[in-house]
Amino acid sequence: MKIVPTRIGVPFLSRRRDGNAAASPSAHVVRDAAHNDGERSSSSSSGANSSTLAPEVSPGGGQTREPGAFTGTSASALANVSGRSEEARTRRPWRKLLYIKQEYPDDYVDGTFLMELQKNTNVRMYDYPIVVMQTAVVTQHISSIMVFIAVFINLYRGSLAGHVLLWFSSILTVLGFVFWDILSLYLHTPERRIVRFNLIKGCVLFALLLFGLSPILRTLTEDTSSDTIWAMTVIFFCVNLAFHDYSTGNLTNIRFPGSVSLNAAILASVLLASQLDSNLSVFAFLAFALEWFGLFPISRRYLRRVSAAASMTMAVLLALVAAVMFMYISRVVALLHLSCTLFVTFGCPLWLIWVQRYKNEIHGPWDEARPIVHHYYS
Amino acid sequence: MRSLSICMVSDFFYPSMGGVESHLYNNSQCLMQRGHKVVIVTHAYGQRRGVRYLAGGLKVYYIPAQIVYSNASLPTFFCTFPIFRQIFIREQVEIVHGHQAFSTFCHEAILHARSMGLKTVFTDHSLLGFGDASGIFINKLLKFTLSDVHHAICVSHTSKENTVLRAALEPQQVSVIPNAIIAEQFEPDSTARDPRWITVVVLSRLVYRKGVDLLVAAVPRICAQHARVRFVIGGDGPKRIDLEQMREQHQLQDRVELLGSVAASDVRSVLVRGDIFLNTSLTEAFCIAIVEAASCGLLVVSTRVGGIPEVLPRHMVTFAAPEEDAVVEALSETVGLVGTREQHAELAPVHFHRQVKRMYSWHNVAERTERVYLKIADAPEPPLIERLRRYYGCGLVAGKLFCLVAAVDFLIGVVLAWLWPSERIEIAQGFDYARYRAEIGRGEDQEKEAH
Repeated sequence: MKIVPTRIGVPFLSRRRDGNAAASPSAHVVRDAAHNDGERSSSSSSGANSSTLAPEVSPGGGQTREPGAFTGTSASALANVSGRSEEARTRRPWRKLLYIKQEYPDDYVDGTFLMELQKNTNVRMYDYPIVVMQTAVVTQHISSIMVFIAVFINLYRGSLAGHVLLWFSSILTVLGFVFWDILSLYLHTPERRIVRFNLIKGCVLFALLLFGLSPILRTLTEDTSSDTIWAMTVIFFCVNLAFHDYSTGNLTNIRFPGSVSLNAAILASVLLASQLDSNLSVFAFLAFALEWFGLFPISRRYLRRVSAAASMTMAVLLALVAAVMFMYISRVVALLHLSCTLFVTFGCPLWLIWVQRYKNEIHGPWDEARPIVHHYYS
Repeated sequence: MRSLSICMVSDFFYPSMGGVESHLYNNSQCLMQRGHKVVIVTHAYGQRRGVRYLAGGLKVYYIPAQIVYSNASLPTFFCTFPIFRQIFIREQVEIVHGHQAFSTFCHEAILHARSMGLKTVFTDHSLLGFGDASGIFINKLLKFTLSDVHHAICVSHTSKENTVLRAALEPQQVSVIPNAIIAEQFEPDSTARDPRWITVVVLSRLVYRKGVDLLVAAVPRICAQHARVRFVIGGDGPKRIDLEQMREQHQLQDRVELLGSVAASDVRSVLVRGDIFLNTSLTEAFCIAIVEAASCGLLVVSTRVGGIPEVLPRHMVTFAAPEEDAVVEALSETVGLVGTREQHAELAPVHFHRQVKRMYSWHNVAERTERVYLKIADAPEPPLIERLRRYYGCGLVAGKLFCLVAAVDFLIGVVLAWLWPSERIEIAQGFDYARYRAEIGRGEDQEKEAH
């Protein structure tokens, strides 16, 4: 990440600026800027300094005068009693102040106009390989949704039995649990204090509850047409994709945007499950959905902590699994998925780096300041 | 001297209180004294609707309108055209002067005035960033309104830079005319101070943008460093609870006084109790509060944000970066300065007051505003196609949209002119300012005699 501060004017202004501004000599500008800087550095100690205030407050400035009629009442001008002609020749430089009456019209544009404008002060320069590695979180999630849909289609068609899925997902969960335990020990993550007994008790209770509810869930949408279910499922999976927590490496809990994503996924799963015909299938499918959308993302975040390469390997693995599973369902979808994954991995980073050239961020003294508070006392 | 008929339009006017409101009122009063005719158009405030006359014969139209957010009315684009047209014709308005970018009425009035071929001026009173969604939206709207306005006015040079960038204006088309105060209402009073304490006064709405977080952090540190310092904090808002918590936590009940909201008429009596005025704003186009404080003879400590560095000379104000440490440092330094004030003639409160009185006055503001009016009063009216060309340049999509709005507005103007021909609209009777002043003067004389 490099920070490239630039101090340039806005192009349309430099093009438009004419007359007044162009006529003011550049030496003027430099002197004025230097003057301003000096003023700033000395401002902290100038509270009692009376020598600086004489030229600032012109004693006779009761009324504003027309530029031509200005008689020059400032201290320096009074000291220099050499007639009006000379004053007209040496016009005092314009200053960015409101409390003095200046011999310039109100709509005067000085050469220092927009000097404090800063462009693109916090632009990030992206490194292509790093961005490619970071796309893994997105491709992993897309692939995991594809795998999930493929599992449902197999279950729906009857080519996958409910108890097989149940065994399969249980084994995966146990494997994931072992993996989690080892990694927790290895990475010293906060949730090492797992009470195993409570965890197992929770799992069993949850499974029993789900098992008891599965007949109700199976008949939940009996009166709704399948087309509606498919359409709603697609919408909810899109919501899941949009709100998924890609950025934070949060390993312990699920916060606001991520929770929307999880809820959408579970809702979609319930809708899909209600299309299945046996209670065991419904139970197996929903248990799988909870593991797949609730626990699997956390284990993927653990993987990201281990190394970027491990995360990338997982992404490739998932993409291949999804493609292979869809090969038997629809080749077009499988190919589409693969090309989409490739595009996200290699095309989008290029795109991101390319659009940086259009970045046009401007900062200046008008921006709302961010207060810096240390809380020494609290 | 040419007399102009001016219509000021803004959503923000009395009875609500604030910088825009007082600017509108005082500027109008001074313009009327200079011989112009001024009417103000705003939306209805509760039961206050219809036509009202304020002091000095200032006529105010309170138009019924739906309020959406913090006193701004519902944007309707065209629905306000009939009533604005009636008012502009009734009052024989030549110049329509809109105030404040957040005001819907201001934008609509300028659009309709342009459709009717009147001259328009816009005054921007606040700064706006470019990053957030509301900023982007308001800036686009501002671009629309300002692309066909004759002249814009900003209250500080920083505000001018901001407006020029936001609305893509020619900088030559923007004047800087600061706000002002009525210095006579802010005279120092040395008897009101408690000599046992060094009193720091804070007067602002207690909201995030006014930097209350900095205040909450700085107060206990200053109290710990300086045993003689106490705080008087006026104003109300959502952040007040933070201040109360801080006071409880550090047990500063006897040294931090929270006044709650302070009426405009009581501001001076609060200010004169203090030695130092502290302003911790995070953004400010022109800070009237510090001018009022300096006029009351207080030393000012302020964050260096927005247009604040332009407002007061260095011997009156100590600047600090918007950081806790910098604010504490600047305030400590100024606390040290309070004791030495008597030895320096130029730091005397009376001297402060005299200087501020010379710097800012509404008569000066009105004179400079009048200069803007006179400059544009005879500007040639561009043909409709030129106006549309200007709107078209506002953006790829927005430009076409703006053209559509402007064209529809123009057509509505034609229909309205057919429905209510302007010669059939009754002209409002002028207010006899001279007689009013004479009557007021006579009243005052009688009062004197009675005494």
